[in-house]
Amino acid sequence: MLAFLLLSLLTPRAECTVLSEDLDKASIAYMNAQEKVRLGQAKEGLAELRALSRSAPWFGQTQWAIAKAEHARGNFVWAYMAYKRYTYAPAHPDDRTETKAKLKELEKKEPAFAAYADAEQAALRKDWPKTLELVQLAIDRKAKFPLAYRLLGVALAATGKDDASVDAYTRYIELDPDAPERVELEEFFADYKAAK
Amino acid sequence: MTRALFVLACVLVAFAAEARADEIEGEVLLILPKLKRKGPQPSSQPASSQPASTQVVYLPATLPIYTQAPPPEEVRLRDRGFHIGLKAQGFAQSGPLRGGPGGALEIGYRFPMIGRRLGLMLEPSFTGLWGSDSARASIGWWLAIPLGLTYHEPAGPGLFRISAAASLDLVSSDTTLADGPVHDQFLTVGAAAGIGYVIAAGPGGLILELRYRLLAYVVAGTQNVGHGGTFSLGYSFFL
Repeated sequence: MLAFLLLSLLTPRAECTVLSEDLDKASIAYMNAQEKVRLGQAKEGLAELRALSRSAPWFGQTQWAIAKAEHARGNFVWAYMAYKRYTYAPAHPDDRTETKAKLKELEKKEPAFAAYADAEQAALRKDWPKTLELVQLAIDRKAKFPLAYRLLGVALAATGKDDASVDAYTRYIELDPDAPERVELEEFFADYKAAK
Repeated sequence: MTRALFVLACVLVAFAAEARADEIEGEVLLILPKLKRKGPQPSSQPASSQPASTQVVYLPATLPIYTQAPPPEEVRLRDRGFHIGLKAQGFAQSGPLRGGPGGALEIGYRFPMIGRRLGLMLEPSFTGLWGSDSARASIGWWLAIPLGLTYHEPAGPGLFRISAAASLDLVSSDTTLADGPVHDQFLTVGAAAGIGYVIAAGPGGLILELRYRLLAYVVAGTQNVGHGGTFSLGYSFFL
């Protein structure tokens, strides 16, 4: 029996395929954060997931985990945004289908999300007047909806309303300090201010 | 009229479904206002020209992450429900039967609620006993079957654990007195409470535990009740 125990202790663990050191670190950070969420330490776990989304924006699963946790907590704006961001990442087809279903569910629940979804479709068709109309409707329905300000910034920039676009992007960053485009936008704000 | 309305509704539903199918997929990329000065202008970039650091990794979210990297030890420890452990232990108490070495088999299950902190434990143990003083020499054995609850709290790389159990104990002893040998056997109901630590090692975890044991109430037999302490070291397999 003792020999068996010693053998068990000395047996090396199964080697796992690690794609890269960064992925390894991100995976562990993701797992730990997920575990905290699962153990009921949602606030702490979400803070770690957000930190991970900043340090490893290429790790698409973070958005999925944020979406799930925020959805469970009833923070639908943040859940919707994270589901959206997850759909922008190339994902497994099953996950994509589930994410889309979640987005539809939230769009049914909250008219601001439905308006945003329509505005996004209009923007993808480059129908900027329609985009502006619909995204403004989304903001009227939910004033603290960061993604709507991002789309508003895009539409305003596309229609040449530069100052208003910068204001919208500024509001976007204020409302979502963890936005993936934050660094890019802040650099732009500095250039824009210098150019004025 | 009703049928006409039904047909109209079906047509509208089909139309709506068709409209949904026309949805465009993709992300609306940032468009930044043009800077009114010379020099390179920061602007939105198509996804294909994003720097490598912002590329997204193709991983399904439902794929267990430990296929890429092993989860941390503490997470591995916490995730397991069933465990079976073997322990070597030493027992000591005051009285003629002072104690001795023993072994225990622990079968435990941690419930999935509250993060698998609370669990059920059954730990049959067998301990040898001996002792002597000027008047007598005793030798015997003690079979204990405690059934109780455990609570595990993550602490450092492992789990701190507290256990409390009610125990059914059978003790048998042979005592040599000046006027001859006396055999005694008694059954008691007792209690046990312990603190311990579990740390991941190999396919399971190492367990260290200190336990206070009380033989509180004699059900059958003539021996006195008593109390003592157990130190145990063991290994638990997670199933």
